[in-house]
Amino acid sequence: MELAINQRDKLPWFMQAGQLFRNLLAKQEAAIIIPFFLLLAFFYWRNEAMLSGPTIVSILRTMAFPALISMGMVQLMIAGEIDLSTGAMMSLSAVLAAKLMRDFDVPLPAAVACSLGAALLVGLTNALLTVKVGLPAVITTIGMAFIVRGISYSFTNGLPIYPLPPEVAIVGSWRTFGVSFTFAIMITLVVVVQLLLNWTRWGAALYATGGNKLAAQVCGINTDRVKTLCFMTTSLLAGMAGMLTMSQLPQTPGDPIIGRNLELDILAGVIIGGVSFYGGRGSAIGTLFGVMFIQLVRSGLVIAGFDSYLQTPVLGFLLMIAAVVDVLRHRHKTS
Amino acid sequence: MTTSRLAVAATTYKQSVFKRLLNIPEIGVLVAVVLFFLLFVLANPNMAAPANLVRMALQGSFIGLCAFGMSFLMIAGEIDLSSGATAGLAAAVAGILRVNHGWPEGAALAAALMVAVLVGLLNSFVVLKIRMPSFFATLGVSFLVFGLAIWLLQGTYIYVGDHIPFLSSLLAPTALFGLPAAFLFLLTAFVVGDLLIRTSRLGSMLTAVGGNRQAAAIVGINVPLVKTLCFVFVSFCCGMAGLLVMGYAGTADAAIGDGWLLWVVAIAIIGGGSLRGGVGSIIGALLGTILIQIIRMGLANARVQTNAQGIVIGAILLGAAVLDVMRRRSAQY
Repeated sequence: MELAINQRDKLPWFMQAGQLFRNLLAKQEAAIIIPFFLLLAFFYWRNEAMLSGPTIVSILRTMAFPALISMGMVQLMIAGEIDLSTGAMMSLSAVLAAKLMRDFDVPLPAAVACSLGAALLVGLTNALLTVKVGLPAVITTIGMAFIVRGISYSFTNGLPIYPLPPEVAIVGSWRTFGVSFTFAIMITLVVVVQLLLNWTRWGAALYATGGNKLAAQVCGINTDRVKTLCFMTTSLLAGMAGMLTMSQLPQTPGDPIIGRNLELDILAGVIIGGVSFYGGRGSAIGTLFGVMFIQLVRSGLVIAGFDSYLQTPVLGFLLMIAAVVDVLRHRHKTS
Repeated sequence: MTTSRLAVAATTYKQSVFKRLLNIPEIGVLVAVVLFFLLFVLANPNMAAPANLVRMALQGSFIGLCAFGMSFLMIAGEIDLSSGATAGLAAAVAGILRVNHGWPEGAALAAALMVAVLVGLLNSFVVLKIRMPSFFATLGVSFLVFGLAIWLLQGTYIYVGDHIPFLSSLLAPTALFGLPAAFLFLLTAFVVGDLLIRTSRLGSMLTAVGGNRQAAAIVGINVPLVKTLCFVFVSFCCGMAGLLVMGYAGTADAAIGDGWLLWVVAIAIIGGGSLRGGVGSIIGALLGTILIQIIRMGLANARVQTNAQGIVIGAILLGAAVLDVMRRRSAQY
């Protein structure tokens, strides 16, 4: 590892980039690419519509939302914690923004700011309970998910909030570089997070916090602060994803059902993408592939003519397989 | 040295009845039960009507059954987050076999319980053989199991109404104050379970396994076996609870156990259990169940919308978890 770093410093920039690319491939995240293409081939063999333009566009558009959130989740899980309240947060942020706009005539930017503020608050609460009080993150965030979704439903009495001002639909129909606004943000974030993880002190602090908390603290890293920031980032991204989902739905309703069961997609995507739930391991690119893999499975099962209710058990099964691989890898490393 | 130790012993011995009462761990829950009950009865006198009490006993039995199993598992130092999903799967299997395939009732119920046991075995396999932390393993299993139940039911539910006379008879009022047989069985199970934990080797065995795994293994306890049995027992209880809810509601639905894991974990902690394992009380879990059931009934009487009830469920779980941490901290000093 030290040798690799030294070499990298001496090499010209294009070879450094090549090395970075090779390092990425050498990681186990790259293993996901083989089953990815095998699966793609299988679905294509079942139905040639798999590789048609509309299918690919729909897969990419749908995966943008879980992928956006997973960019926070990957940092959080590298730091050794987990957040299962993201789907609920999506619901609350959409409903809150919609309620403010429709019933209180709040302008769009202010409503968005309020929702994002609420998201930060939820993230902060998750962090306080997990980091300061010391609850297991799974328990904290499951409890928080119920609270947040409960608030979301009590705002709306279970009904979608609409009509909203036309600006919302305009945001939803933005096409930056020919792709949806959400997709553009997501891709930008993937690049930014990957760069953060690889090249900055923040990235090093994340891996250190998740890999060996005590050692990180000895090195002067404030692990509590790192984790808190990660929780808040994840919640913030979930809040953004919720409002973006709303803006892309027909009639742009603030529907409390937004983000329902999306936690499974995000968690499965992140774990399949090579992030370890023990912390200290994972990359943004791998996570992107993991989330894409999940969406490929979801869409492919439908296109290949399988029962659409098969999706959830298949995803659950894939999550378990990926998690078992993660444990075995962890055991191999520690033994 | 000797004198001070003697003095300590003497003071413990001379503690007043009141202080000794305070030292009983379950006393806090008991006080909470009484207070909450009085509070809700003051708010709505109908709460104390016999018909309502019977309904509470019946509805509380479902989650109480899960919490009963969970207390054993949590004493042994593991947790099962797949309780609600297992309940849904058991109901789905029983409903499909009974209604769609025309199996006799007993066979359908037995098959459903077998499936629940299989879920427990899967949980214990992943936790003990693969050595995945139980928080994560059972969460993954719960996604898988819930997905299976949805797939089996094709996203809808099955009306089982009058196809399950045996289950219905368990839920029908008996001669004893009109309480249902299921509740009486559960009450007996709680008492027997508590006696077993207190008097037999089972209690010290579970505490040892949950408190210090290595030490337990050295003493000659078969740790994996104990834990496997606990996992299977929890899943069995949850499956049974799922079947009872199916009998009560008249439909087999994958979402039968929606939100159960929060209630069940909260009950186990309120009753004296810990997320770290090694402690717990069966009779405490019974009191915890009663407390939770009073709160749920109060929510239903106040006409809080089902989805909005999540606020209270989540807050109770988090409150219980914080309580657990505080208890652990105070025990250290």
